[in-house]
Amino acid sequence: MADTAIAFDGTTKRYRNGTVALTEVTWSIPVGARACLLGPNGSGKTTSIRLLEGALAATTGWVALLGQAVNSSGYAEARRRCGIVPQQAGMYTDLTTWEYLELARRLYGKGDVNATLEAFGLAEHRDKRLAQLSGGFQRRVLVAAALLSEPDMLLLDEPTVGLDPVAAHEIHDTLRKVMAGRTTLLCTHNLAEAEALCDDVIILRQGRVLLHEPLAGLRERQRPRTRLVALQGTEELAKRVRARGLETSIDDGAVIVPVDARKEAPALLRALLADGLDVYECTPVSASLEELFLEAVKQ
Amino acid sequence: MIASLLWKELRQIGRNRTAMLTASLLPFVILFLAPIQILVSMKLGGQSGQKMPPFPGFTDTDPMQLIVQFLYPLLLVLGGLMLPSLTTTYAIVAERERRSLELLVSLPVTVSEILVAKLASVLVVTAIIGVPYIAIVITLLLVLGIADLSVIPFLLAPFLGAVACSTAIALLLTLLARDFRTANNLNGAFFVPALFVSIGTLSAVGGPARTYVLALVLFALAALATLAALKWVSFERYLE
Repeated sequence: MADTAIAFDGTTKRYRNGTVALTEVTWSIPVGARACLLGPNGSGKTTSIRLLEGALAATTGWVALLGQAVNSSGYAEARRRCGIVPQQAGMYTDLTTWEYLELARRLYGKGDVNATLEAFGLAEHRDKRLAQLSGGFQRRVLVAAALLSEPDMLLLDEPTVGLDPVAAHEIHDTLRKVMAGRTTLLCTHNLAEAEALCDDVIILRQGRVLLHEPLAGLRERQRPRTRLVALQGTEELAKRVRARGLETSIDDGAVIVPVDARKEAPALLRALLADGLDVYECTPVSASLEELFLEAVKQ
Repeated sequence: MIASLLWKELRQIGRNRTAMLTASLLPFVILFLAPIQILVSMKLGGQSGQKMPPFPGFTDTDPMQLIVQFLYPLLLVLGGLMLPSLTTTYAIVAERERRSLELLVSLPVTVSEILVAKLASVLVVTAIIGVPYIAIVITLLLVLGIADLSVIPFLLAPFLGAVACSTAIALLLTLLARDFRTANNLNGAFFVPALFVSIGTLSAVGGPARTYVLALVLFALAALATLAALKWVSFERYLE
């Protein structure tokens, strides 16, 4: 329990309007993990974060943060060791950047507002109302507030949703730096983001855990594939590969063959070259998280 | 925690000109201008010795006593009912309309701490705006020899009851409402019955106990509304 950063045990959340957001969900991540909570809209990701925040109460089962059940006496202290970046929250029109960070400092009980403003490039915006900041800067303020007290753990709820690519890239860079050495739960439906920032994957669908395992393990379970490109074009190459009893698929000007690039591909490559095909590219295909996710969701 | 949240709430309410103007103007008229105007007209009009026609619940037909024992408590109840409802609605509904509650719950605070801080801020604003007016009116009553020191609790009790009642009802109605307009309409709908209850109690209960009984009725309504708000409505609706 002490080494568990986040735990859901038989957790069900039914809202007052009858919507069931989570159904007997059980999963946990250890201290030090960098996990992503994936799932389509309405899968229960944000409800999970709100249960961890203590903003909502579980209908049945329990939820624990840094070893402390959410309704226990030790939760408040655990909560102060955890920084949270909320999903696309509305911004105050009547509080400045400095005031919001000062509020965070008072509530966490520690931190240096001026140093944080400097560290996150917010110093020149300290007296601007939050609603007047651009989307990228608003998100930066939220990340800054979450990190102000140097927390042991981070909960990130869709940290880049709604941002333009440049702002999203900046936030990714910041997150990469601040996630180092911290337990992190990244809640997202952006698979590229999850792939870039996390090691473990928890996939939710319709309020249930569909899959929970390390990203590397998920990849290992994938059928190995090899990408081939020849001067003669994809049609001719695919025909010759199929003639050898192998399945093929075409992807972006290349032929994808279900063979292990290190074990079976050399023999296939030699045979194709011997057939007179000018194969000039032969690379292993690493399944993207998107493919892994879609496969898991299909199952 | 609550002190930090209160710091935030007071800054926000103070910066909202509409909320502050509405919260200041009506109490100025009801708690200050009207009582002073009545007092001045009674004094300058040379009403001494005149008798009022019989009034329900009053054996004393001295017009000045009717003012002190019936009209002033009623004005204080009116002000006490109006003042907090406006600021409570602003403090809670604004958070919902801006969707900024997400920001707040991402910080290490509980939902009950957020609510307590909001209600505390309403009470602070009410005290800052309302108490000086009431103090001036009571001082005048004492200086002019119209009433003795017992008028202080006699008038403050219904005001505090009205403030508690209005704050609690506004909390309940604001949690039920989804926007400013609905919240204000619901508050308005509650206002008239509350006023009738106050007039009825002041008329039905005789003697110096009348404002204390009214205060008890208002505090009981406040307790019921708070219970209903926290037990059956809850802040969770804002996060669903």
